Amino acid sequence: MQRLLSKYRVILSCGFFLLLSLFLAAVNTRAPYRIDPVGVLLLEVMHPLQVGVTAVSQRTERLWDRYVALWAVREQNEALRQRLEVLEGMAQQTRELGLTNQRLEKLLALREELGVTAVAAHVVGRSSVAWVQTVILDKGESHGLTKGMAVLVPEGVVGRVVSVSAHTARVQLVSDANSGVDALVQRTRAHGIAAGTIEGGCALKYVQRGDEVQVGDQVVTSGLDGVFPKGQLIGTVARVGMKDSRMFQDVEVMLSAELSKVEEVLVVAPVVVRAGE
Amino acid sequence: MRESDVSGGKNRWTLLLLACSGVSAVLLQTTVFHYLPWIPDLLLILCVYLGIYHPSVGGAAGAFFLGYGLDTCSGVPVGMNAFAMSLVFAGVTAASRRLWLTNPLSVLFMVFLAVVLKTSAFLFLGEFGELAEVFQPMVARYIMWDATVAMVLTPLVFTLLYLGESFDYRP
Repeated sequence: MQRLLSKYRVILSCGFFLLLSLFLAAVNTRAPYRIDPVGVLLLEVMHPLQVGVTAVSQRTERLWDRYVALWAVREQNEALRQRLEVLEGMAQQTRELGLTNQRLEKLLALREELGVTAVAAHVVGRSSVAWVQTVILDKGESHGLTKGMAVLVPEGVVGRVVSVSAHTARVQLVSDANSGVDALVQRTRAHGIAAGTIEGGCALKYVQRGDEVQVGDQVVTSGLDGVFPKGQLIGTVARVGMKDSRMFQDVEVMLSAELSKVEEVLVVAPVVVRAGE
Repeated sequence: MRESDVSGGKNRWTLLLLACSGVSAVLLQTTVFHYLPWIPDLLLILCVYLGIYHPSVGGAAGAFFLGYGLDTCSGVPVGMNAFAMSLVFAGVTAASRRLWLTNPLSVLFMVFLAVVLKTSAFLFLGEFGELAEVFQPMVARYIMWDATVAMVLTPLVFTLLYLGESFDYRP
């Protein structure tokens, strides 16, 4: 018997544990909340270990989640930044189109006001030499531009066309030292020539000593030079000087058009002054 | 040192190693592995290991307590995992007496069979309770996944246990 037990002890022990577990399973599946003293003891022993391992694994999980979330946030941030750049570009384009539209509307109004043949053009180039004040337009002979045409913006006089090619025109700005526009002081009708200075400003030359000119007076085109329509604003008197030895007053004019920022202009055909006008 | 002392020390070391492995496996399965998409059944692999390398009364008791511990800590009605593990141990022990099971492929095949056996045991016991309804619709998927994950982990667990048992604990 002893030898038999010893020989089959593994099989017997397997059978014993199978029966025991089967018994336990049968009891516990019918009464799942039955108190199992061995199980309670085992749970008590395992409890601190389970708590510890759970805490560590939860912290690790949180850390991992945050790390992964950080990566996701980073990618999202990059995508949003790119989108923002695109949208900013679009907004900028829209603003620019709006401003261009406003300027063109003003040019159109000016053309209608003048009632003469006029061509709108874009400034596509500027003189790179400081003492030569010229700009290049994107319209030329093929668009009806000719030498001597007046160039205006709604704010005032810009200059005159000094040379043309088929598709471009060079404009001498009113601030160029070699330019000259027949002008009047609007308030007193004092006559003079608005000419550019070497510094890029403008002066009203040949104003008689007896003529009344004050700072703030507006200077407009007289229309007598046959180039500029009459009454176009050139600028405002910024300073008036008078030296005893000279015949004429020194009148400095602040140009009304910001020539360095002009983008669209209206090129106007020469004005023919008829007798009685 | 006498041979019996060496043998006794070796047995104690093996017992300690397997007990620690069992406790660690229970802890991992009931806490950490829940974060994984599929919970690897380390206890089953351990049970197969016991069946192959320790086909003894101690091995049978070990398998029973592995299942019992899992039942207690995981909230399953006590006895279900204990029965399944005991059945797996008995099956592996019986097979290892007739087949050469230390071959890696044989071990993997045995792990696959163990998964099938354990799931069947669970289903068999589940007939007495409510678990059958949960398990029956997804038995095939469950077995395939469980077996795949277990077979992937088996070489690692077996190697660690083998190295642990071969470790010379003497100073």
